[in-house]
Parts: sequence; C-alpha cells; structure tokens
Amino acid sequence: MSEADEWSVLMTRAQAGDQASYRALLRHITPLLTSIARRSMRQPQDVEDAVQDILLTVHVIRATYDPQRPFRPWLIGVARNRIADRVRVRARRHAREVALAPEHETFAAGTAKSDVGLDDARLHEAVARLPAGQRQALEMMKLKEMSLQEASAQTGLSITALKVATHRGLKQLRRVLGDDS
Amino acid sequence: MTRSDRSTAALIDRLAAQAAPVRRLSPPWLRALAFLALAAAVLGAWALIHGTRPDLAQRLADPMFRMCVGASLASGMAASLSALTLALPDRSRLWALLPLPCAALWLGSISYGSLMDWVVLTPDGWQAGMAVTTFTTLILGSVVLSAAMFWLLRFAGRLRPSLALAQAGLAVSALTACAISVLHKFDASVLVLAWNLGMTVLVVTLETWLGRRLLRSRLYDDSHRLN
Repeated sequence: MSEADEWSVLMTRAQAGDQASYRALLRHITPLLTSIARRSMRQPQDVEDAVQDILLTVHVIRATYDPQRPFRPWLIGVARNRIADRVRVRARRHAREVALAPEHETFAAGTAKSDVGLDDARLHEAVARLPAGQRQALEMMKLKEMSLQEASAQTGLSITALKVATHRGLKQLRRVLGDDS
Repeated sequence: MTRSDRSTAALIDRLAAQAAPVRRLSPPWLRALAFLALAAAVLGAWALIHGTRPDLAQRLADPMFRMCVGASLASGMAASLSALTLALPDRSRLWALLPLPCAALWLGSISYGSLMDWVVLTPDGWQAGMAVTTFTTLILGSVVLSAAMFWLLRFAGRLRPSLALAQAGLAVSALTACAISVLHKFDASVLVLAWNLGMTVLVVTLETWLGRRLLRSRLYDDSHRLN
C-alpha cells in the first residue's frame, strides 16, 4: 500500500473515531507539513505555529474529507490555505510595527533620571515583579545583549513576541520607577 | 527531541484524544440540491401566501423575460454549487468561473427599468417605487437563504472563505431576484444585487478583520499552553 493510500485509510478510520489511526496519521503528515511551511517561513517558531495551525484545521474540518478522493491534495489544500492566511496576517502586522531603536529604550529626558542614578535594589525589585516572559526577554536582550535571533532560538519565541515582550517590559519598568521617584 | 517537536507531539496527542466520530460531509452537488430545495420551499410557500404577479402568464410569453428569469435561476444554481465546492480544500479555484456565463446573461438582461424604478416621480413628489411586499420578499429570501448558505459553508472559515462567500452572495442574489421577478411586478434585480452583494462585501470584510481572532479557538490557545 502506498503512503497516500495508507493516509487515506488512516483518515477514514479517524473519521470513524479511531484515535490510534488518527494519532498515527497526524504524526505521519507532520514532516510534510513542516517542509511545506518552511517554503514560506524562515523562523522555526513561525514554522511550528503554522504546522500546529494546519493540524488543528485538519482536526476541525476532518469531516470534509471524502475517502473516494486522494488524501494528499486535500491535505496540501488545507496547508496552503492556512499558510497563505498566516503569511497575509504576518505581513499586515509587520506593516504596522516599528522596530525598536535605542532611543525608544531610554528613560524620559524631561526629568533627567539618568543623572540621578537608579537605586539598584529598586531596579532589581521592579524587574523581579515583571511577568516571566517580559523579564526573560529583558534579561536576554538588555542584560545579556543577545540578538533577537539568538534569543528566539533559545526561548522558542518568535522575534515579534520577543520585541513585544521587551517593549512592554521596558514600558512597565519606566512606569514603576517613574511613579516611585 | 526539540522543544518544538515536543509541543507539536503534545498537540497531536491532544487532538487524537478528542477524535470523536464525525459525520462525513455530503458531496457538494447533493448539498447544493438541498439548498435549492430549501429555496424552492421558502419561496414557494411565500408565493402560496401572497400569490404570483397578476400578469405572470403574459410576462412568460415574453422571451426576454423568460431569459432573464431563466438566467437568474441558472446563476443561482451554478453559484450554489460553486460556493459549496470552493469551500473544500482540494477543489480547483476554476469552479468560481462556473456561474459567470449565466450571471453575465442575467445581468445583461436586467432592464433599464430596474435601474429607474427605485423611485417614482408622482404629482405628489418622489415616492418609493417598490411595494412593501416586494421588499419583504427581498429580506425574507436574502436572510433565510444567506443563513442556510452560511451554515453549509461553516467549514470554509479556515480555508478560502472570501471566494466561497462571494459565490454564496451571488447565489442568494440570483435566486432572490428570480423569485421577485415571478412574484412581483417590480423588477428589482439591481436592488437585490446591491443588497446581497453589499452584504457579501460586508461579511467578507468582517471575516478578514475578525478572522484571526475567530480562528484562535480555545483549543489553539490550549495547545500553546502545553509547552
């Protein structure tokens, strides 16, 4: 039995509620989905998100598969539509985003707090109070001075998520330290 | 095994654990037939209640009228099949072309009167050219048929909803216009089209705008918490 026929049989069983066949099918198709996603996405996290999105879509619309027809074109159709949608959404989001520049990360000049100097203990306390994601992003990006790519590879988070977490963390620190002073 | 592999493997286990038996979707032609049967039932019942236009027999003798009604009916049938087929992931986008010849014939046969009858100039000034019952037919036909079509297209949300929705809008427009031609003296093709296609554009825009939020189902969010 060819791979395509095997997938079709597994999907037919999955439609009947056979969980073992369904698990086997999803595992078998994951490498194909990953290779399709890699054609349109570079970041490992984006590829993983896309693969999981396709798996979820396969799950939600599995009733639409007709066993009389080959499984592979059905699967590729699902994958292409989901990837196209994600690429479109990402392009739209990137068009609205502005990369963080060093000047975004300095404290407000008006009160010249940089001259006053920060109390180490208060700064550590403020950092410790940040949500885990923001704290991790700040530590990697600002304290360890890692690149976005390095931080992304280490945490598994997307570059966008890291940028957002860093920005929010800095904003929160500014607010906390600014209010207390 | 990397963190990414673990996360996807966990998602697969989760999905497999939720794999209840599903009722397989019928072929698109069968679902289109069911939709057309519903349309015939609704508009037939409406015709029984309110009757057809008084001059229907005379109008049917007019080849131009027959062509207009026939083309709108054929457009509705073809667009229904096209919408339901396009909603499936493994079907060609060329299905979108299926209703175009009939739709071109229908739109080409829309009379000049339908452009001008929206308002009528009377000695008392401008008045609405459309009777309330005609407008009721428009709303009834559009709402019932659109609701049925949305239900039939419920799986398309994650695939290519815009194309399928556009075809669905055309199907509902054409069938409603056909019904109005038979039931009422008022030729409302342009208004029906403007109404239904306007609604289609609105729905497609909303879908594009909200799509990302709607598609982020709880299951999807849960899958990311598995990390």
